[in-house]
Amino acid sequence: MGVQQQAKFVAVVDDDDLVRTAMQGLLKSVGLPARVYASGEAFLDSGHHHEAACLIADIRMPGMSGLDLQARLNAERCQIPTIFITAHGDEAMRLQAIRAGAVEFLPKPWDDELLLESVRAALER
Amino acid sequence: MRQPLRILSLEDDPRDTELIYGLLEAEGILCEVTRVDTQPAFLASLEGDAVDLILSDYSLPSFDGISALKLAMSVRPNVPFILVSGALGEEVAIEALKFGATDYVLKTRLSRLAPSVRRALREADERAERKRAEEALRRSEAYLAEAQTLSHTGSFGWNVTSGELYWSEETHKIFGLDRSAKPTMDFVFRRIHPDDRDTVQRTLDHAIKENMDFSIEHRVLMPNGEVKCILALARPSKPSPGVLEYLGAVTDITDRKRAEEDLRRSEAYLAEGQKLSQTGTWACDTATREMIHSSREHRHLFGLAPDKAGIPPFEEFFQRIHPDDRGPAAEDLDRAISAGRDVEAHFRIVLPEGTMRYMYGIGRPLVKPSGDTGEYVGAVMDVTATRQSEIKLRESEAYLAEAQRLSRTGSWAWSPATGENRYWSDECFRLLGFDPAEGMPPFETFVERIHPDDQPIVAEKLERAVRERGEYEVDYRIFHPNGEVRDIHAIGHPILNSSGELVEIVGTGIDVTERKRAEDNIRQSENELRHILDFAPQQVAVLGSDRSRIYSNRAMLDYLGLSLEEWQSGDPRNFVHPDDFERMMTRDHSEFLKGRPHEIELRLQGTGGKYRWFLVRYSPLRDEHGRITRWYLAGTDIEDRKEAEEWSRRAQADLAHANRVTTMGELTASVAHEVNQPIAASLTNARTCLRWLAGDTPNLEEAREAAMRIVQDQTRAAEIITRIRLLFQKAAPQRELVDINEVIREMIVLLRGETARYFISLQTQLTADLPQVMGDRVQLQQVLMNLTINGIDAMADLDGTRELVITSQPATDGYLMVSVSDTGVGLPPERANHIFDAFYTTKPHGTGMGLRISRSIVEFHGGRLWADENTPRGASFHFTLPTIEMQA
Repeated sequence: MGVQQQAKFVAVVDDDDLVRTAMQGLLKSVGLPARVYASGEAFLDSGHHHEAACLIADIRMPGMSGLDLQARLNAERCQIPTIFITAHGDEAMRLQAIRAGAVEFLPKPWDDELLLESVRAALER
Repeated sequence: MRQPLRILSLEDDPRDTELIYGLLEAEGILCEVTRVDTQPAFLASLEGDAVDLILSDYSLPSFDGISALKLAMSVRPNVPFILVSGALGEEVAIEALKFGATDYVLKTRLSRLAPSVRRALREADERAERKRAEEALRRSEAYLAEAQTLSHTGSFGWNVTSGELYWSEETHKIFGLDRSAKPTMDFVFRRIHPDDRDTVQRTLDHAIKENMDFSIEHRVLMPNGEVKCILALARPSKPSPGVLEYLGAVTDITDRKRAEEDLRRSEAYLAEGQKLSQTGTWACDTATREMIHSSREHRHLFGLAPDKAGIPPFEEFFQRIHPDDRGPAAEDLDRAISAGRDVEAHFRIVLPEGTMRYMYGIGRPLVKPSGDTGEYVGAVMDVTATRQSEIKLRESEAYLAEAQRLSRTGSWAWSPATGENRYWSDECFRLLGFDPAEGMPPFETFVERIHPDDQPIVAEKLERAVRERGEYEVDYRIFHPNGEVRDIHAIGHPILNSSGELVEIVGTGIDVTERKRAEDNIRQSENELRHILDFAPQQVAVLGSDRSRIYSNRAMLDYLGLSLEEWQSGDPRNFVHPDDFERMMTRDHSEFLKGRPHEIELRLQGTGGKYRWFLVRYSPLRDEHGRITRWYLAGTDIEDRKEAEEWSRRAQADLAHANRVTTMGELTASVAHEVNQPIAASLTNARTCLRWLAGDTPNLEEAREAAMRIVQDQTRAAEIITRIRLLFQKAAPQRELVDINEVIREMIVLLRGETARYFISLQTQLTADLPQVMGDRVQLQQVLMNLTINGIDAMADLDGTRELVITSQPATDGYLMVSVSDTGVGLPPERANHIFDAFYTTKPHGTGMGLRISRSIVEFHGGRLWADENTPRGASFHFTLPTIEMQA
């Protein structure tokens, strides 16, 4: 896959380390490189956000929420295809996220196949 | 004029007598002649008449001249006897002269008569004169010898040239040399005391050389060892040219020396005695009033120089007397001297340096053996010390009397010999109601005044004291003359003489009427108080400062089913619950030592054997010095209250549980999310694992890691579920050592979903190594949960920063403090006090019990929960908890 050669990676932002590591493990099993961040602030502070090919983020996090992060990335004109994951199926948020450029909005627990497909779709955009 | 010569004429012929008379007359010899011619007449005249000359005839008719001569010689031997005879043979004449006749004259040659008479008379006179002189010499020698003997003085002559010595009898005696022995200077020097020999020799040599008098005092050592003191005085005389002779006297002055020595000694003693007794003596001439003697000490007493020669005049002595005393002293002395009476005076002397001395002087006329009263002698004694001690004694007597008056204590002495009072102090009179002016009443009178009921005990105690020679102590009432009855407490002490016999009983009497009255009042009020206490439903007891059990009221005794004596002497283990006894003892011990009021809850066994809970309060009673004299114990039956408390605690636990369940219900969504997270992660990890295993070459390493993650996920899920279950569990409160930071972290795990849900940033600032807390973990977690949820709720509907900060830190006095601060709506204005009230809530779906229950839990743990404003907005909730450090 051409994307893979571009040395781009999938960024995972979640405040729960179990979720982060599980995601990372999953992406690794399909050969996708992933970097994990405990919060939106950490992701932005890393400076790698411009190189991220895809972003998987939790909506509800202490401090900066997933939507806030998306808004900040948009503001920086850093439009990363984003897949939101949320435990609470907030329809209002879902619409807001899609409008802001989210590619997918998945509930917890998530379907691995659906997640991977969404990642792949995002990478191909 | 010479008297006529009285002649006794023995003549038978009157004519011859006439003739002789005529012859003598003619010769100018005036005479009176008495003629006798018989022997009896002759003898009578010899014996009876004054006769100057006897003229006797030789031949008489009845008598003869020789016989007459013999007669005359025997009767009047000194009267000249001339024989006048007509014829006298030669032989007769010689015989007559031999017999003592003065002369013989022949009648034929009467012309010889007158010269013979004259010669006879002259010879008689000479003889008489010589005899007188001899007698005088003899007498004066006897006198001298006697005088020498009496005065112990001997005389001597010393011919220095020939070396010969002439000694009187007394000199022999003094030197102890036999009278018949001849003294020599060698002998003298042998007798002189060896120590004095040189001095004597030198003095003699010097005197001889200078031809001078000498006077030597030296000692003589007698063969028997006796030592005599000798004074030898001598003066040179020159009986003939070239001869030196000393005439002198030696006196034995041993006695005088001894007397002098004695006198000197007794004078020294006297002076010393005067000095010691501070007594001076003086004497004055009554006529001239001149001071003729003033002893050293006398002058010293008056502050006059004792060493100055001469006796100061009277006036100088008087100047020393205090001006107030001078006049009277001088007058008294003057009058006494004039009247020859004794005098006695007290006066003061002011010494030059200003000190005042008290003197006592006496004087009396000195009557000499001659009866003369020309001197007046006196003695002056310094009595300052006596006087001062008298003053002191008087003062201390006054103090004692004052002390007795103030303390209403009288002292007395009673004689067992007479059975009578020997001494009563003034206060004794007063307190027994007798008049001191009338003197001590007879013992019987005193006894009659004693209350009749008390008379026997007084008598009995006194008898016993006498019998046993022991202490006497008795209380009695006495009637005063005004009818008043006073209570007297008397104490007596036996005084024994050296043989152990009782001499007297001395003691004191104290008027204890007021004290007794006060004691009676106290006793009465004590009785009343006891009565009241016995009626009181509370258990009351009194302990001594040593925790000895003194008194317990009826309620206490009835409950325990003990008599007062059983309670006092019994073991408290018999009625205190065994589980409470040790606690009571240790706690009591420390609090008793500190002397602080304290209380303890313990179970006491009642009559039925059933224990009931009591709250026992201890309160110390202190005396004026702050020393604890009593402990008062008040026991309250709190069995019912204990039951109510127990019920309340259970109710509270139920309520807390209900609160937890409700809270958890509210958190269902968050909790579900929290459980969902690990489950979701777990599923992903499981599938990932399968992916690594599938395929041609399964990656076992990756699969194993994924499986490990599954384990972690499941562990997390299990933990959460366990905690939730604990919160739902309805368990009795547990007490264990809890790390508050751990409780905070566990709580955060449960609430993370909730904070995430409201986009709340939850921060913790936990101080590491905080001391642990003894408490119920679940309940403490519940408190934290309530406060955190409140904080989340306060921020849920708010825009802007949503921060929840949980801090833990040490607080003062071994407490720790946990704070939960939010940036929410803050406390309701003016209702801040009500947020802890039951059923008060600001939330639409709140029960209004969360904070109320939290506060109960915190207070149950011994802490405090309160709220204040957070800055810049929001609220802070703080609670404190006692740590084990405080309890240690």
